Amino acid sequence: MLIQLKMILDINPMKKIIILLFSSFSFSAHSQSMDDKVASEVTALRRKGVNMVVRFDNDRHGVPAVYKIQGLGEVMVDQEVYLFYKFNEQDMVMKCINYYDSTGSNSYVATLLPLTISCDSLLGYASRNLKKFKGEKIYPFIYKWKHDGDSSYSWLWGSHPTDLVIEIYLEAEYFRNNLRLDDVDQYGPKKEVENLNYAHNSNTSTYKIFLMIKDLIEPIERKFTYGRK
Amino acid sequence: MLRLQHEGVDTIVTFGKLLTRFSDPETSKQLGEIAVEESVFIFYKSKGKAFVERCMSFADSTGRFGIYAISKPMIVVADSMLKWVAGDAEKISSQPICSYIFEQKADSTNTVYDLYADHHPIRIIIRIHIKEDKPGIGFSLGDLDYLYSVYAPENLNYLYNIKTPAYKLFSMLEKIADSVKNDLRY
Repeated sequence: MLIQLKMILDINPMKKIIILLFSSFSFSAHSQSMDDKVASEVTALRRKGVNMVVRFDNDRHGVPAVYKIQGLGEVMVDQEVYLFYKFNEQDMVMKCINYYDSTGSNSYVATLLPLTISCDSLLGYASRNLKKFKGEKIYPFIYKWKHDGDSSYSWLWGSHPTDLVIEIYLEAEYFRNNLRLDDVDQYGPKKEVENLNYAHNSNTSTYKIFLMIKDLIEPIERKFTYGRK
Repeated sequence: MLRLQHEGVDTIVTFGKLLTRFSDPETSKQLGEIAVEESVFIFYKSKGKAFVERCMSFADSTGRFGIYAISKPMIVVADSMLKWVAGDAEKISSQPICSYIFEQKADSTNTVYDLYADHHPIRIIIRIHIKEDKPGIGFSLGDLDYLYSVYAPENLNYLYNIKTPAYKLFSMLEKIADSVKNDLRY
């Protein structure tokens, strides 16, 4: 940005106005956050009459995935958001990604073209279990450790935690829950410790929604393409 | 620290207290009424005598905050503590103090376990510098409570924590630090 400003100061006044306009447009396009992007997509869906959207955020926390996406080429994705909804009696899924270009230094946010999908069971489950989902908590992986004659309780924290977010937008409201995959494991990485919160966590609607979403996206993950809607 | 190591001091114990979003009032003989934001006591033995120094940031009575001060070395009764630490450093650091964890009923069938969220934690950081080794211990002061407040559920790690060598060291350091803090000269 500073280099752009320096260049602008060195050229004639007419060109300055044009470049300033172009510069501000291109900069705002690049700086759009994932949340802004998804919020605008949800708003657009609501305007089209969609009354329920299930959102799934997969923040990869430093462990990006490499996808070959038609229209974008091979890109490194560090954050992906899926939106499941029904439009004109058709189940759909839309995907927004935060990706890096081949230099690895520029990141962009993009919406991939929506795909048709059969997600009636997901939307139905989310709708029926909304009361349970609201205010539901996934507890951390806590284990008991026996010492000589004593025992202590500790908290297992992975070095690369996967923080997932599930949101349900219904009419004008929305509800949000977070999920760390480590917290729904029954045992630690070497099976040396057992998660005392497993029974509760694995029975939450949040986790059940996550499992449904996982089953839905795996078969279609490579089918997303980039283009104009 | 580097100065002390350069002078050949081989056992140094630092006792740090970091306060989040609040400060600890103190009455210093030299500085008067102050509110301490962050403080590190440095205990060491040199030429057969135990010393303490302190680095801290604080707010003075006028409300000016972020003031830094380093004390002059002061002789302190800490020989037995330093001797014990030098012999048992590994034991002290190998049994860390565990977080405040409590249990509660999630529903009619499941019991869940959770970490107690202290919104104003006082973080304690102890480091033992023996030659090249720097075993460290870090915990929140609230982890040592049996009940954080009258309404809080009991800390399942309370009995374990108070039996750890790390707790014993913390108690010794706190007692010595409290006995000298008002007398230090900056």
